[in-house]
Amino acid sequence: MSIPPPVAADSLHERVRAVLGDKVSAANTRSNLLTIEIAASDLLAVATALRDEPELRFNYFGDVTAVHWPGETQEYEVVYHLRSIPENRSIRVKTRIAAAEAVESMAQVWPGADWPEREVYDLMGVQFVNHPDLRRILMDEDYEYHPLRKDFPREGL
Amino acid sequence: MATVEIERIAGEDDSGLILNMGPQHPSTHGVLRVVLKMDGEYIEEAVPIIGYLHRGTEKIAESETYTQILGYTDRMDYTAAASSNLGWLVAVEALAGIEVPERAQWLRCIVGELGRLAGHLVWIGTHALDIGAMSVFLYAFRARERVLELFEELCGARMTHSVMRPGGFLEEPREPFYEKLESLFDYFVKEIDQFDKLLSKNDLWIGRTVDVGVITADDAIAMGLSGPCLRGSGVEWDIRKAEPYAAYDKVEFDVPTGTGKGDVYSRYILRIEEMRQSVRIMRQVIEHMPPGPVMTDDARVGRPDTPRLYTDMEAMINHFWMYIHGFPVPRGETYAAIEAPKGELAFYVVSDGSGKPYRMHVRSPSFVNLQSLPYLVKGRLLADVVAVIGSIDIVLGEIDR
Repeated sequence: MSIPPPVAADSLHERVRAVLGDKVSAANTRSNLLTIEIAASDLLAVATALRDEPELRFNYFGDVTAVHWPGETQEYEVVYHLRSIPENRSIRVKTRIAAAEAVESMAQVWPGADWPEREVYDLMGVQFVNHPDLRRILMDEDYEYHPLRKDFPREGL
Repeated sequence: MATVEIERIAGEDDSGLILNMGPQHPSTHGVLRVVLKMDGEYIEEAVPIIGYLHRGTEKIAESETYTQILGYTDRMDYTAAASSNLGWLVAVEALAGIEVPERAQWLRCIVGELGRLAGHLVWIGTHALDIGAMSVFLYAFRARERVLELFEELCGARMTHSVMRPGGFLEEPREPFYEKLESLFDYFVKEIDQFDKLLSKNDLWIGRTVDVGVITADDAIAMGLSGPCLRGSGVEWDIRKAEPYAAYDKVEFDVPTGTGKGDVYSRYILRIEEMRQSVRIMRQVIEHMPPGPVMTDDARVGRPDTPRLYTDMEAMINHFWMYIHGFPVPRGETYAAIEAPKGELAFYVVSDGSGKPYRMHVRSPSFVNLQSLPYLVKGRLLADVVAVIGSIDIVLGEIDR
């Protein structure tokens, strides 16, 4: 058995569209990586479909992170990177939420999301619901700030 | 830092013993702390506590230029700084659309594999020391010294070298580097064989490692493990093959999966084989590396040549601009992964079009791999914890960032 070359983003796009339909609000295939944008309310359904659909089988939770865009109504952009091993498919899933909102925890779908989501919560302040153990991970437990938010100063706190 | 944790696992009835391991314990490989709930000599629950080495690299990166950040990546996985450098550069070059010359791509394989060799030699030394095989540590660090001397020959620095730059290399390595590298291949193979002979069939080693810390292939994938921790369970997965970077698509090498049982022994035996494959890759690079420049001639990122600086005003302005503001990177985002010695190291970078990243995120392999520790040691003996931590091969600089 050897590792196949990466699946082309365009053909993957068609398959993902067929499965998810109008849940995908925007998509692009720049740099041969399929990026889809979805509504935060659809996240759990989309994740489960991406993992279980035999044509997709995204069984590997690569990474989660968030980008802060202050001044926008939906100021957090939560970004997931998923892989399918060993078929060698990759996808990026993005969703936007307001600061007061929360996203479903992907640890319900992939146990590997546990610590990465804790990190995003700790450093960025994104709330994950139904997470098994959402606590700070890198900063002290009584620390008051979320340092990767853009309103946190880079020096002189 | 972990009073809440200790209270939670101690429970109401205060039964069992709470044992604190680290953060200042040599077998935790840095400043990892593990709080263990014991039932006699057996582990009921293990809670890893991290963050003691958190330096806020991702936040700092937002106020540094793309080239300056390179120095911070050295300090993430400091046992194999070359790999962290390479990961960052692959991401920056993808985002900025910088073409790297062919020779530099091949040379990056050498630097990447030397990094892997250095990282794995630290791992085998400390892992064996944890389990009680003292002499392996001395041999491993002696061999690692040869690797560090090669880095010294390459750029003058031994551990945190930043010898690669966006667009290629700062300069072509001097001739003695290649001579010394070639003369050491046989030595490395001999040393690797020696570790193999010392440990692989050693009764005590087998007793301490076989069927310890077992994880199945499905669980390893679900937990997001990468690198040797994933391959040890029999999953053939390597970013160098899956999404080739540098010149890894032009060299031949095997992806070892150990015994495929997912235990400490499997992760050990496959790393030994990986070191052999590293030497094999470097031999091929030396043989097939094409001549040519090692730095891109792209004026956006290339350093203006020094003589022009003294005579040409424009060159001087360009030089100052480059070093103060950095080179502008087009708006966009990228996620670039490489196979670091510890697993999948990836950088997610968002650019707003300026010379500094809007957001930089590191997916560090040790961080994700370490979350499997409670699963791997549950119900095992206390002595197995050090064996399992060693076999995950963590570096706290990379976990805490």
